[in-house]
Amino acid sequence: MRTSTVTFCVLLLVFSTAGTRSQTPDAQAKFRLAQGFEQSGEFDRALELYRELITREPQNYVFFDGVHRMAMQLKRYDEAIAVIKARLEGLPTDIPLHAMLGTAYYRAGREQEAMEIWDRTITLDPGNVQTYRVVASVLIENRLLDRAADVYRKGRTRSDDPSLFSMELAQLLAATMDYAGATGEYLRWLQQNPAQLGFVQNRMAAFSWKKDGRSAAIATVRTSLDSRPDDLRLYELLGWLYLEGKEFPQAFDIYRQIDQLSRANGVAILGFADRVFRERAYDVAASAYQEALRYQLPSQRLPQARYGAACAAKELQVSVDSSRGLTRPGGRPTSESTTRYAGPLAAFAAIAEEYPRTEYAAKSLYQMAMIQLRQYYDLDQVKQLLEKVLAEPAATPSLHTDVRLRMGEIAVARADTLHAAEAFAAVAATPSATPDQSDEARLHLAELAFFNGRINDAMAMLDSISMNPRHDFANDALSLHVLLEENAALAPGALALYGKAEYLARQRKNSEAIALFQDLVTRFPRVPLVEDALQRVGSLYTDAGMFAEAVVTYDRLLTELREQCRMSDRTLFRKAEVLQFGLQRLPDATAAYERLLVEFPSSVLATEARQRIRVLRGEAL
Amino acid sequence: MSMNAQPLIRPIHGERGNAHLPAWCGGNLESGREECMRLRSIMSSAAQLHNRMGKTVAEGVQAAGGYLWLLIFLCIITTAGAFGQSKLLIPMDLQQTDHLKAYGIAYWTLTKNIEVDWLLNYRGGSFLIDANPVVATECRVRGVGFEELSGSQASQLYAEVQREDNNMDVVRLEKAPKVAVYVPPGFQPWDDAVTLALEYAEIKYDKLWDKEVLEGKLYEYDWLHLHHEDFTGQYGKFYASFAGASWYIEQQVMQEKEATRLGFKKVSELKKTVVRGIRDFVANGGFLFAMCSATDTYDIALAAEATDICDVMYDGDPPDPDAQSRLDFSKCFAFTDFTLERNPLRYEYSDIDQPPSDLLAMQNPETDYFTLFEFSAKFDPVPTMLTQNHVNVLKGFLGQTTNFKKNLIKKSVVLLAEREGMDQVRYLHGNYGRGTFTFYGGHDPEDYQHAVGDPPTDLALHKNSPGYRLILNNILFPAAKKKQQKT
Repeated sequence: MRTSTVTFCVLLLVFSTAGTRSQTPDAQAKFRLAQGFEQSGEFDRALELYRELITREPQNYVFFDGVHRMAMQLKRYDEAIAVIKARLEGLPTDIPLHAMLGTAYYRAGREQEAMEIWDRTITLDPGNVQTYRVVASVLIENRLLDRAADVYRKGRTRSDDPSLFSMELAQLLAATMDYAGATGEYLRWLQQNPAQLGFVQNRMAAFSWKKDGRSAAIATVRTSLDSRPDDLRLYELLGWLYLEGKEFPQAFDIYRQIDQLSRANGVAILGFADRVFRERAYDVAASAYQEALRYQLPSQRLPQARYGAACAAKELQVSVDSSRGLTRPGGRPTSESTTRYAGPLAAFAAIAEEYPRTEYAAKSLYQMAMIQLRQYYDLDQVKQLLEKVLAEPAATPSLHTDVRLRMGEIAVARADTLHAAEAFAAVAATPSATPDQSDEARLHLAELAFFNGRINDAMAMLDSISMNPRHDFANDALSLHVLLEENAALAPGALALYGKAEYLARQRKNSEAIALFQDLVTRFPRVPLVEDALQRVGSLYTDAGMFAEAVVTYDRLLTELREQCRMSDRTLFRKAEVLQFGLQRLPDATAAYERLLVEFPSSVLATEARQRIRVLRGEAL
Repeated sequence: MSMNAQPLIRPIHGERGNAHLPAWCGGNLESGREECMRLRSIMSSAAQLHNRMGKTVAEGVQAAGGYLWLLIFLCIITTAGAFGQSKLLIPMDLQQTDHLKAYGIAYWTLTKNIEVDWLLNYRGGSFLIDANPVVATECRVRGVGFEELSGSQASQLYAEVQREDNNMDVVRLEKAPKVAVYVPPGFQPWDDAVTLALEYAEIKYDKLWDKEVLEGKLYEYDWLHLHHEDFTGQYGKFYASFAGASWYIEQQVMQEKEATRLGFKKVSELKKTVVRGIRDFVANGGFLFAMCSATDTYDIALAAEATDICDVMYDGDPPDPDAQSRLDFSKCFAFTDFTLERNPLRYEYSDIDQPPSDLLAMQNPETDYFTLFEFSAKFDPVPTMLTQNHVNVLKGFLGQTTNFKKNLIKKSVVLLAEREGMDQVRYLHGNYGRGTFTFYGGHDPEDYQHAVGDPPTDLALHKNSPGYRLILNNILFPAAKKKQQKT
């Protein structure tokens, strides 16, 4: 095939240049003039000259091509047909000429004759692959894409090569949106070239991103699997298609097969589990990790699998909790009787025990500490676990820094200001700390100063925080800064009391904190801080699940103390939230959101309130 | 508007003091007084009857007098009611928080069979609706600013707007128009400014394409929108830049398949039939709005009915060498005497478009503006409606077709906005048969140069867009009928 192609090209070159070389000077001049007319769009005049030239030298291909081209351009198809036929008398088996003739008939509207000519063209040399290529390309030029595909198929049938024209057909079928056909051709190619899976995926990506393209491809691959149930490449392709469409349960089924066929002993499933964990499909990830663990994984993969399984189980529980709508960072602690996190805790504990002095042990211990801190608030347990993390030689520097921050947090919760300040100061001074970690440490130091009544120190520390809006703690730092700045001069006594109450809240001594906030309201009824205090009381009640009390507190702000409040829109919004998510009084929640829109149409919370109303109405957003 | 459309408006121009009155009063003060007079005569007849029943004349007069006082009392109540109907005013000046959703509110109100008054040239083309808590809540939920007016305030407002020396007027909108958007199925690598506006304003619309046009489904709608379409069959003339792009290839194949399925050998022939279908829809009373390349390609396709202007890469054969001389400009809606762009690799259709698409890079967004013309609200309500805005000078924006060359626009067409100091018109309107058409150049009013593959504009960030308001003016316009002009 290659030899005949080369031969064809050489012959074409020889004949084209031969035509030029044999021209007389007069002919050359006419030829150039004809080219000039053609380029300037004067096709009639160009045609006339080309006609003269070919009359003199009928065998000259260049002149013939000129006449043909101009006749087609001017839609003088009869003339084009005539000149092609004249040339065919001397070259009766010239495939491209026959194909060209077909085009002339087709453009002249004589479609039936065109088809017959093209069919006859193939019969001239049916054993030559190039014949089919030439005819197919002419059909494509004439936008007869389906017929072009038929010609390719005919050529394949005639040859012994089952993958002949696979790529051409695949591209043609994909362009005509026959995705099933295109996939079939790519599978054919893959069968002959099993190492080319990546190449095939790359090509199929042109339509696998589309739902209908992907569905057609999946159906085709599945059909192929019926006849080749042990073809690993097909499973890999199918798994990839499902992952492209984020159909994780279906993909999981396929990766089971892949693991079995490749005798991977769970490694393929483990890889899949890691992939879907990153995609945040925690339910599927958890199942996949568990399944991987049922295999005889290589020993170095085992801790990875176990750690992944524990993390997936934990994340699954966290996502269930946060879907309830009222959770806040550090929200109300889970009661000891709740066993939601018992499974992940046990899993992490087992990893730490069975794989000491590894990165997984350190990370597992840290995960346990975080569960204990955020969900159970067992400070003793947290401290012990964090100390174990520090003792782990494989713990990374970043993990060390995080541990110190949590140690500081525990110290705050235990009213151990001194050790808390030491921990945070150490982090703030650590060169390897990330900007986020440094900002968190500085924020906590500022808070400590505030809790202890050192307002100026607190504000100085807040100034040193980067206030980079991309950092997690920038907003908290900004809020604290505003609180201190607004009230330091105006109501220092109230501010100090506020700091003490907030300190109690950090220690989860909510009842005492609430009492102190309310004491602030009683002792300093006219200061702006009253609003902040009562809002804080409302949020503490909410965290404690005392929703009715929270609503009463917010109502007090909205009625009795309305005159001195500046953030009534926020109060109203929080009340609506508690009604919606806490008390499930949806009509009342809607009314509260609507009231916000009536009374505070320019509030920054108005957009969110509108969306909540729409959700409550059942409207799709 | 469909041939069987019911009258969509009760004209109120010329009726004085037309506060909203109960239907039995005839809907306005004059007819209310006539009704009172009629009642009085009925009462008088009742008094006479009473007389004939044996009562003394004096007793009859006394009874009639009592009735008369009752009648007067009722008239007072009735006319007092004229001032008692409060209204919601949706201002459309700079006070408005969300102009685009305000159109949505007006449309939504119409779908609830509540009338809306469009106050032309009053505070940017404000809307006035009977006070209704449901409408007020909906305004709040959608973030549309409004003001509550008492009955007397509303009456004063009407009086002010309808004063002879004010270039303002009131147009009553009664029925929400049925909206259709012509758009091919599947992915488009560019967004459509009109569907963006409709989606943001929450105005319902249907999509249709060639098949539906050929089946005559256009007549089920009042208003048809065309955006970045190419009715010449040259696939947007993206060949030079995107011939190998998968979306371009698929688009071409899809159109060819559709043409074959509908019995056409070429896409260009199918599109010519489609534009004739749209033409007939407009001629029979339909409203057409076109933006960007849909404007000039529509007219070019009409003019090229008897010739082939597409080169071989578009329809498989070369164009007619005499195509230019075979154009019939009398078939066009808006343009005439234009010269086709014959180069198939140039991103341009003709010389209608200004500036030419290959010179767009030289445009400076900082100095690109266009100015809306001012019209008489009382004598030219249609162009007035179409140009309602809170600003007169708008930022320019580019498109495959940006502005229209002025001297290629037919004299019968009304120019609505132009680029001052240049020979370029941005926005125009005209009549065809019993219907009308509006052409608006440019692609996206809030994206100066929107390129293929760019993400769509988020209208929540442009809720006061003057450019998008012009699109939405065209949505409400079919709900209003042109009023009798004073002679």
